[in-house]
Amino acid sequence: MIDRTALEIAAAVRSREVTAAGVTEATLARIEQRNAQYNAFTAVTAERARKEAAAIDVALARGEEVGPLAGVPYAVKNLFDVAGLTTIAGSRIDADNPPAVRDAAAVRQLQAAGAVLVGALNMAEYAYGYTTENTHYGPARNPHDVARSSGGSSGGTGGALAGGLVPVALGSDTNGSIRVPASLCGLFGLKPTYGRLSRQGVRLFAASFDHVGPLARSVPDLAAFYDAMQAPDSDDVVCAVTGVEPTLPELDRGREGLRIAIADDYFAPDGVDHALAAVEHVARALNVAQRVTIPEAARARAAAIVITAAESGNLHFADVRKRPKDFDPTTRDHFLSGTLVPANWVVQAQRFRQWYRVRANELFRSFDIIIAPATPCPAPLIGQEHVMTINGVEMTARRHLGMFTQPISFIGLPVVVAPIHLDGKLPIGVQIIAAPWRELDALRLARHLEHEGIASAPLPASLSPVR
Amino acid sequence: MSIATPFDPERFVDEAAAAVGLSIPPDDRAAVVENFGRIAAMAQFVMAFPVADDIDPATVFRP
Repeated sequence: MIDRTALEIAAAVRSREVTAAGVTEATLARIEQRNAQYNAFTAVTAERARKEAAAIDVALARGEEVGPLAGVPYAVKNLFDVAGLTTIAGSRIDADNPPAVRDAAAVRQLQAAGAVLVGALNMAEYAYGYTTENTHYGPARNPHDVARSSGGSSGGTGGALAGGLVPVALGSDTNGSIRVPASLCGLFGLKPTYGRLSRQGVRLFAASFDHVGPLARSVPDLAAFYDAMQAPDSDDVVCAVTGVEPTLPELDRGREGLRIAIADDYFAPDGVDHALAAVEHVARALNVAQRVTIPEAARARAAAIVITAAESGNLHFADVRKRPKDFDPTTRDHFLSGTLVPANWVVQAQRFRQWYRVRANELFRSFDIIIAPATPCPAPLIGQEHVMTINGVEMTARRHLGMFTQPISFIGLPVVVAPIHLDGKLPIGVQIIAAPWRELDALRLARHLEHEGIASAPLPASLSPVR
Repeated sequence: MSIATPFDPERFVDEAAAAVGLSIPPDDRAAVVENFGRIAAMAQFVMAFPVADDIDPATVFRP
């Protein structure tokens, strides 16, 4: 049962083929059995999960309405507030904080939809890092090969899903932290439009670019969780929506009417053969030859780096002054140096961002979807400096896994990562990028690719399905 | 010139840290200088691009 999709589980619970309590116990047992291999969970909320599940079963027994995600187990990156749990955000420093008194907005929405929270997931400290080699809590491991990284910063989210511990989980994405784990773990991931989903109760990293979103092993599950999370929220000053735009009912409309192009130039450099093979695989399947250049993408990434450094340095300034040695050695130099970035650079980067937004959005007059690689390489080995030579320049995976994601989140465009499995190789993702507020376009194309068997998120062959 | 050329990240880090009251642990200084050098290189690339005076910063504040 627990290897089924979230929507299949919800249907089985609603029809009383199974109980929410039974699904929850099976999920908790699965986490107990497999988590040590992947180091995905940092906290298991068994007591809460049992209560939430029992409430669903009682409501069903009384013939009451239950939400669309009734009885579906899920987990959240440990930067989402969960009432009664300290929000550690991958850090040792925040572990000193008192427990959260209230759930984050996203968690409240999912609870209202009937989903059952089973725990909090490992991440790179304060969301800085593409490989989740967290010194305090250990590295998040990739279920496709546990010697490899599950990506970052939502690394535990990737591991929990690819390892079959939960069908859906939440991550956050500032420069690629949903899309990189989705690519490395072979999952579908949605980074919505900046300002679409409330970040209330989520530990920020760089507020100009912080997003939350779901990852899943199927597109309908991704859409169902995204839909359930939608709600206007004045408690997040960035949340810009006044209504809800459900995507699940429209998901199977196929690709008809979608004008698609493949990103070239910056997004097609030498030295990233596996990533470009995945893009070409998708392009061939869609019979798309049209190319498009997103202007100044390299500079967009540079500006994202400057703003991220300054905003995150500012956010952690008190702690880098007071207790620098309590930061993870893998993030410490970043947060320390971020406190020193001159305002002149930051303001210029924000003005460039406006220029770039206008130019990029112009492209969407001619296209609905732009396809680009998600990461330059598949999952690198944990504890090793994986060096790539891209356009003749040596780059490390740890620093450059987000090279294709940063220029997109920089202007808040919605993206679905579609996982591609080329013969005998580790999975790798492609970004399906849509115009602002057009998540549905990206989800529809991802669903089309899933339906055609081009994109998929199977459990690793080593994990035989337990039914 | 928006950034001194050649930019000296070591000197900048030491002076800026002193100015903002940040004391960098001695064994982290080299890594901070290296990291700041990378940020400065990114900033240099951004600063080299002319943006018209009538373009607002992308940050939005709604009273």
